[in-house]
Amino acid sequence: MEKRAKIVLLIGIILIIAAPILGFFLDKLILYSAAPVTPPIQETSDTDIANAYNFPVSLAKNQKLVVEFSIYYPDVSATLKILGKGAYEAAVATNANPNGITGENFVYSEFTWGQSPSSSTVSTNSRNINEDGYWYIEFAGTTSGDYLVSRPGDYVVVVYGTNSGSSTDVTFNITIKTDGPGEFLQYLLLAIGIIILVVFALYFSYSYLNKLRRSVD
Amino acid sequence: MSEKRKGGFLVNSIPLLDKRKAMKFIVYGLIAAILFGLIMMISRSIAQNAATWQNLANQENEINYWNGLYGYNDYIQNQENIARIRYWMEYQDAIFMNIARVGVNIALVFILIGFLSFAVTENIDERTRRIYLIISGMILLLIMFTTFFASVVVSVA
Repeated sequence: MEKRAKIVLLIGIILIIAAPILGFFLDKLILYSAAPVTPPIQETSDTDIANAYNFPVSLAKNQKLVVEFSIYYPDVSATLKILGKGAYEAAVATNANPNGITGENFVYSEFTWGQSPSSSTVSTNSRNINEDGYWYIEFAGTTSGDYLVSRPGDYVVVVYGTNSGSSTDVTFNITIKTDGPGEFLQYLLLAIGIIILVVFALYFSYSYLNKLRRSVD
Repeated sequence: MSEKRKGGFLVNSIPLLDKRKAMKFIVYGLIAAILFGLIMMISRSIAQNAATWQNLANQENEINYWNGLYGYNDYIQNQENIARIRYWMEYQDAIFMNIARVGVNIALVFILIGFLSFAVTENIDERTRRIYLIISGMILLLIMFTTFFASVVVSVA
């Protein structure tokens, strides 16, 4: 076998092996991750949305947002909501109280071993944690039952809360991820790898038959 | 008998192939038939095991969800992708089986021509030629049955 043919074959095999690995690692892109978020927001965020934590995101069609929201800090109580950019800016302009604003619908999952995933997923428009807790949230614009409905646009992840201790800090952890190009890349690389192998097999068979024919002649 | 042809139509040389050429037809035909037969078997095996693969992939999907690797909607997306791949695994059988069927039949035609040429070669003894003729007749029958009757299949256990 020619050296060039060997290299092409190797590339095909590498692409097929690398496709699922690359797909897995690029499945989600981390937009922001902090544990805890610094500087922490203050208790005033509970009455004035302008002081709340905000992270703007832009969602394309069929793109999901994943938020991992957790708190393991004493005396802290915090709430997460996802608002449309327009609603958020209007609320900031009027220094509205975030407790009175209805957020967009999202779903959160509780990973219960042995239980059907559909029964451990719930749709809601806010999640609150008192001192200890973790929520895995998925969002795409709105929901229909426990299913996400894609509604592309600009949104803002908002967190506000209180501290019942002597401190006024509202400390929390957050990771915000979005769908990456992993799935697309996985299928693309897999297809290229398979095409290379098929073309190589056809070319190799043809060369072999030609060689056989020459030796018989 | 052994006219030297440069290109030309296959029919022109039937059944006037010399023994060497006839043997080449049989060997090439056999190699092609084996290759296409192999494609058939691999394709059928993939299709038959599609449901088992789907069960395995769904179980892994569920375990990944329980491990918290992704949420419910990613789980559903994966489930739909798994179903799609399963359907492709089953449908590819129709594509590759038909390609392979055509390939096997063409290969059988080559083998048939080879045996027919042996059967009409004069410097082979009468009994052997008769055997060649019977073999080519059987191959012809096989080609006709597999071409014109979809219900005739050769299954290997």
